[in-house]
Amino acid sequence: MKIAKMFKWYWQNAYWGLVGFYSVMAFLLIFGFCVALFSGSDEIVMNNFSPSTEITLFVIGILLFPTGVRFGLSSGVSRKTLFVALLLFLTALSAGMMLISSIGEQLGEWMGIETHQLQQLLYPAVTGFGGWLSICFCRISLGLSLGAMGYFIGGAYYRMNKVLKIVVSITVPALLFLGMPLFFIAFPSIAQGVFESLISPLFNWLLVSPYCLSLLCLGFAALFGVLSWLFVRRAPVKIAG
Amino acid sequence: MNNSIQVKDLTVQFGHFTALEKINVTFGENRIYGLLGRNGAGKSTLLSAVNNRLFPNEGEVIIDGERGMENDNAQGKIYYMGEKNIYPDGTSVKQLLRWSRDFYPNFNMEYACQLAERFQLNQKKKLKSLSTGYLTIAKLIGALASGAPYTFFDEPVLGLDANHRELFYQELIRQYSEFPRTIVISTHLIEEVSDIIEQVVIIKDGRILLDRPVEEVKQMGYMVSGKAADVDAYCAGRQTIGEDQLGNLKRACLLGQPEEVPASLDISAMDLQKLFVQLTNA
Amino acid sequence: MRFNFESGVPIYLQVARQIEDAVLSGAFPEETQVPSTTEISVTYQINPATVLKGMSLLTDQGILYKKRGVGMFVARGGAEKILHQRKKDFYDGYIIRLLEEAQKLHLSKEDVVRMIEEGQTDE
Repeated sequence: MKIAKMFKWYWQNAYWGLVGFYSVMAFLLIFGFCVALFSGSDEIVMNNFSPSTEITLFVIGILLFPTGVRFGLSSGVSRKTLFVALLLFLTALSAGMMLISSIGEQLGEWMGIETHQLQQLLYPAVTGFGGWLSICFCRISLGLSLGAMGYFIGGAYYRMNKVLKIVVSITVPALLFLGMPLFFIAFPSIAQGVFESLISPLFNWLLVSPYCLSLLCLGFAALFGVLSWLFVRRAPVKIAG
Repeated sequence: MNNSIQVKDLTVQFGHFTALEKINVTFGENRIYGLLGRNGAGKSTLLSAVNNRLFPNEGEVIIDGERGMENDNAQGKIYYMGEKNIYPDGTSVKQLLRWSRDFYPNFNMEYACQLAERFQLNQKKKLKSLSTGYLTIAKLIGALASGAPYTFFDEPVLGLDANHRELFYQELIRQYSEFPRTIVISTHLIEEVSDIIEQVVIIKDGRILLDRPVEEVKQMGYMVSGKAADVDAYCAGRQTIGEDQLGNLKRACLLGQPEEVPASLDISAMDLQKLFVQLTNA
Repeated sequence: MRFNFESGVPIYLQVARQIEDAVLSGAFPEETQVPSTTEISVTYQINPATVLKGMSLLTDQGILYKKRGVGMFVARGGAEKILHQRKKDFYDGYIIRLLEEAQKLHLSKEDVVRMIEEGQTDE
């Protein structure tokens, strides 16, 4: 019972974000269609359906942590219940958004916009209904993993105190965007080693089938799910500011 | 079936700060409690821990015989009108009431709408745009209409004017008379609630200082007034907890029962606010 | 009705006293309904249990009685009972103490009677 009500709460909180997102996507489609119509070009490409869907899910994941914990706990919902409701919601949302993306892409194709390029680039061999199914599955898991990652980050920020928040906000991007490249520039042999022994084989394996990518994503989703639970488990109601 | 909330050896720590230390208190069925204490004494922390809003370090909360922590069923019986706003920006009064209805099966929407009208609260307004008083009113309406067997009011008259206060207290008693339930009012305005509450629970520095029926608390002391010299003479050797003087006229609060009071002095009932201030002073 | 929350008299006794006064003055005639516990507690913002305690005191004395499902009514002869009790209280509370005090002040019975007569004409 309370799972369903929390589900509704998550939906209500994601609602306007989704409306905004799909308005932009619809606008881009129509814009592309007009350009295609007037220029007569058949080279209009719109590859951002899948990535932008995932980014949206990531952002929604971040936002749902604080609002879900605050409202849920204050409405007599246990941490367990609000967490289960969140997992269900993210899965449903990921599936729903995948469906809308597919429809959008198909519409784009009919309008003369190239929308399947990315997928064809990654998995040229995937065709037919079975192929479509595997792509769908892959996208749902991808969305789920990004959503879970967002939720995890939202949770980390919710649980951290002010000082920690500032420290993490500076050090993590610094390490990621400055430290790591600098490290690889300083030690090119290590960089090459890592690439050759880890990244390259991983990518080769991922490109075997969409199911491989799904498996990796589900693994990440599970990892972030477990880590998020650690943040939810003892979370108090905390009001910012 | 044991219909009560029992708090057992509850300890809550925030880092090195102990907010609650081994609290033991019971909120019995269909009674009205006054939870009193100075700012930061631990009133909200106690209610939050009972309502599963924060995790205690030790101890437990039993609600109607069930474990209270992480229990959807048990927590569904508590409506806690907190002092903080838990809703996202852009939430309207109407939405607040609808969400309360969704989570509390006995919520009475019709009554909530009537109350909104009587308090002249526009339901279309966003919570963020409300003044302190009207934000309190919006939350009060949710709590009054909740129908929850345990209703907690945290600073229920914050920012309310005299008319709205009276309206609130009257509606509280009407609801309580018609649908008896356990009510906990957390406040530092003891005089205002002294005739409404049955039991006084005073909390100080995270510990329960006093937990007694209000009638008993009123009998804990008395006041004498008269000529300063007479009052001083009477107070000598007795436990005085405060006095004030106006010219040659003096008034003193004493603990215990009046005994052999000279005819030149007037005796009157204990000023609860004074008693409270005295008890909770450092 | 008026309640003095400051005085040392417990609120439930004040409730009982106020209802008695209303019965004596004829504001609540015999065999008519008195305001319900809820009405009294809501109007004066007093805990219903306190009001109920005051009313039970009057039912025990046979001044009020309960009609099931309707409410509380003033009993036949209720005013008489109150009057009787109040007269007794008057004797115990005022007359006895008056005489005690008079004795201390060496006032004779005649002095006291004269003073009472004076007091009455002064009014």
